Amino acid sequence: MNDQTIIECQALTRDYQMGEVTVQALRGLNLEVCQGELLVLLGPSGSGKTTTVNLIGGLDRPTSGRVIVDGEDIGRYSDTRLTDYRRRKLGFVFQLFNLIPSLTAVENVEFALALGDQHGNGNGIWDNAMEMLTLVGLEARADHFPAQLSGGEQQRVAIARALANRPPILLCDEPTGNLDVDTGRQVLGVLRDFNRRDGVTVMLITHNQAIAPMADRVIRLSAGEVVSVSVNETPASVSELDW
Amino acid sequence: MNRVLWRKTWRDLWSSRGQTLALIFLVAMGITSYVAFIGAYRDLDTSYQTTYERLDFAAVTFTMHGAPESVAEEVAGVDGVQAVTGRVVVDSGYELPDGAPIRARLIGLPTANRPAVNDVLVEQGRYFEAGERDVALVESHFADYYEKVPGDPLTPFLNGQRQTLDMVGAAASPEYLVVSPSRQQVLSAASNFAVLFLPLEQLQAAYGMEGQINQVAVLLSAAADQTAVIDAIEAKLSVHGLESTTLREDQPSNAALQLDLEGYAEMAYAMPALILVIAAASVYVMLGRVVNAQQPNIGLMKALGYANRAVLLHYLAFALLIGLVGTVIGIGLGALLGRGVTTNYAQELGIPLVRTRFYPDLVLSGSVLSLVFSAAAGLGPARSATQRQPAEAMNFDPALANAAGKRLFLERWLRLPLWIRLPLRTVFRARRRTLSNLLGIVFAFILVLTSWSWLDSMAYLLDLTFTEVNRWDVEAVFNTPQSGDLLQRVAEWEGVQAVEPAVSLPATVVVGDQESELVVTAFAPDQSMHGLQLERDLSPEAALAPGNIVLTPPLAEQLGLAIGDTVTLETAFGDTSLIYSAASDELAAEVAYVGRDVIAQMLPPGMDDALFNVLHLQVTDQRADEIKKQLYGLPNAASVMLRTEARAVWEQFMTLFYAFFAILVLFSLGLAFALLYNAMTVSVSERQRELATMRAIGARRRLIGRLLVEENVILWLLALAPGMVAGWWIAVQLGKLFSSELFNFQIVIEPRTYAFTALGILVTMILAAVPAFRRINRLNLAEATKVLT
Repeated sequence: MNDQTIIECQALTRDYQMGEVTVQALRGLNLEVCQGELLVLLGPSGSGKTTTVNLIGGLDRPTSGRVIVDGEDIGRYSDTRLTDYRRRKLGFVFQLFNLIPSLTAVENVEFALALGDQHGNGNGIWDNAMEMLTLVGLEARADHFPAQLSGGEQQRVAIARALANRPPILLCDEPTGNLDVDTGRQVLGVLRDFNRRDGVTVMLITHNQAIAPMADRVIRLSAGEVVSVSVNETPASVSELDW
Repeated sequence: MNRVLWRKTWRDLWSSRGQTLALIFLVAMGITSYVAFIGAYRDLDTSYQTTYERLDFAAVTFTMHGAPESVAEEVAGVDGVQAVTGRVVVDSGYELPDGAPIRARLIGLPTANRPAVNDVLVEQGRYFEAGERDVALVESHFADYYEKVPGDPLTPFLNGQRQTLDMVGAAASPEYLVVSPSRQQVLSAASNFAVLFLPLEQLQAAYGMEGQINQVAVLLSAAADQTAVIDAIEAKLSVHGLESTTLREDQPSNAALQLDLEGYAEMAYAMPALILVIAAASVYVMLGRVVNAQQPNIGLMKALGYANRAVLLHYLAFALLIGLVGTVIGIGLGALLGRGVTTNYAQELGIPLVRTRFYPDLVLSGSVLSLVFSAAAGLGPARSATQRQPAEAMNFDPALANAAGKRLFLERWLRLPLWIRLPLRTVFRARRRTLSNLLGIVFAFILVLTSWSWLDSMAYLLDLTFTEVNRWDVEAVFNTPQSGDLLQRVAEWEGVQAVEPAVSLPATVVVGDQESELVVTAFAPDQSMHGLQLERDLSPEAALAPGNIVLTPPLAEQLGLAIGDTVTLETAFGDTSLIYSAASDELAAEVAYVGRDVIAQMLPPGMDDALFNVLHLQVTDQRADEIKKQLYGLPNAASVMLRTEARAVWEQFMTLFYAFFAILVLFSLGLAFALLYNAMTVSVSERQRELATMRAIGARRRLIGRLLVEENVILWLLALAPGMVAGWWIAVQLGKLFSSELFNFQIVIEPRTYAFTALGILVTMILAAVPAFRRINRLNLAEATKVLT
């Protein structure tokens, strides 16, 4: 981790119109994420954590305020540019894994690689995909389809896919939400490895307080606002986590 | 079902309104075609019967050489006779304003009163006044064609003399609803066959038949024994040179109408039934997929404590609402369209009294069928969902459920690029989805090919008839046999390139206890103006060798004949035994061909065996009209027709056919779109999360579009062969239904029709996927990547 800011949210608001009621999901949120840090965004349901990640991830646009990533205001991006931004700068890990069911583990990673700048067919992409799977410990399961993998394995493939193009930022929305404790730890371990080894900035959303000790920093949200920011001087190892 | 569930039903229907509308459209089109086409058939039949009853159409018509008028009273006295009209009917000519003569039939009607049998319906002007002369009523088809109105001069030939008569009115006749001069010449045209009604006394006087009649038209009482009554009348008329007895069913116009109606009846039932079944099956499959995708909701409902029955009722209501709305729309549209078809067809044919009705039994049977299919479509998947444990159903992921399977067989040998592998896998691994989509595409092929094949077949048959079979430019038919001298004279006329004689006779082919009336034509085997449609390795010379007869395939089939069988040919000149040597596949079914020698040997000794009564000519285009006039100028010329006119007559007779199938093609295209739209939308919505994930991780829209197009192309390629084969097969089966005594109908599907249909379906599939693709583009990616679709 260094002190250089990679993501900055400035006075971010997001309103949703639900029939005749306007729901304020974010109310002037400000936060900064430093390059290479593992940040946990913690909060109960409705606190605005998912909305925050959606806005940072370019999956949604703010009602007001700015999201600055690598010095650029992504709110000004066109849809096409946002797609490029997601492809180059971000990796997504979803709660439901969201693998493409008709592609094997290695092909799911290949799919992401083929979207990136490493075009071309053949062994180049496949080798890279296998390398990613090896990093998440799934080289032996490379040819299995998602339906043939356990939840934890699927999520590790999803992480491999998310990081295949070596994006600087990884956004994880409740990555352990559908997993048991042991499997959840495995997945968190993989995330931590990428963060420490490759310097990937990991932003992890969860409502599970037990995960917070592994973070470099923990930002707590409530009702669309940051209520506290705490720094872990000595983040816990994954094996110490329990829930 | 409680109010909340009703509200859910409405909202579910509304939230997927594109699919809901497409399903409603499918049901509606099925019911529309069912109610419209079957209703139109019944309306047409009713309209004919109404016209016949109102105008007292004869049950039997007796034609004699000549008899005193009092014979009519004698016939009226026969037990079982309800009404009689005695009249004079003669075939003559009519001079058109440009001097061209055409064939005319003159019918004498009483002036003092209306005829008791074969009355006319005066549509313009008035009927005759008592004792009136030098006036005529014109049959409506002729009046319409030449735009004749009361007061116009009419110029028929009365016993060879051109007369000018005043037109007092235009009238429809039950005998000429189809303007048909004879059973052997069913199709004529208003342009070259005029039917005029004249005061009986004037016609009698013109032909030297004062106080005489040559035809007796009879209506029988309901309880009469037809055979006995006819025998009794024939006995009375035999002394007056009875020439023919014609039953209503053999009367040319009625026979043509009935054959047309019978052909239409088959289609009127078969095509709508096909559409309804395809619509119902599509609703079953598509609605089933919609409900299947709702398994998590079903699990949730059960988890909340809803009983299986309540869940089933909810989805039953969902399906029935679609079925019901579609049925109501279909009934409304069907009634309107049916009325439109009947009215337009009746107008085209000149049927004066049109009756249209509402048929509750059709509405009931169509509704029951579509509602049963809809209900089954809703209940099946809902039932399987209620049988799962709630927790299992709630976690049901259609994307995964559809994707169990292995790597493709093809991939063992072929390393395909990812962009090909992905759509291929999607198609082959999600077998249920693929099968359901393929079924939709095959249905689309069946609908479009079946309807289109009729237009192709008719165009092909007309082309065949007027290029390959009838190679003449002008055909002249004579009332009496003509000698070889005339042939020589005509050959020397300016503009005549070639001329060939033929003998054409009404005849009966008898095989055992089966027989069939037909027209037999005798010509030299080496003639060139009638192209027999024989098997490839058979020459006309072999087929028409002495002692042989050539028949049409449907006639041979009807008589149970195989090549080499012996038949008896009965003609006015006598009977002869012949070998059925070959089949000629032509549009007309009731025809046969023999070599000239067959007729020559039947002629009485001393008769010139070069005699003919038909001339076929090839002429220069510029001289065709003039030659037609010259031929009409010959003594005993009965009819002269240009090939272009003959073709136009057929095309006019086929108006209903063309209209019916043009509507069906439109129906089919609409249905195919709805079908494919539904298939594509459901497919995409089942994979919403997958596609949204691709977008979320950076796949451009173009890539998603490309993947969807590739999937469609793969599905289309898979459906091509089964779709074409199924379309062809069903078209052929329906074609067999349409073949009748009149038409030898062969289904032909042109290669370009296959190509256009296939291409049209591919384009439709891609267009049908556009709304689904746009929906993916509009998705809230944040939400779509989280929800189970």
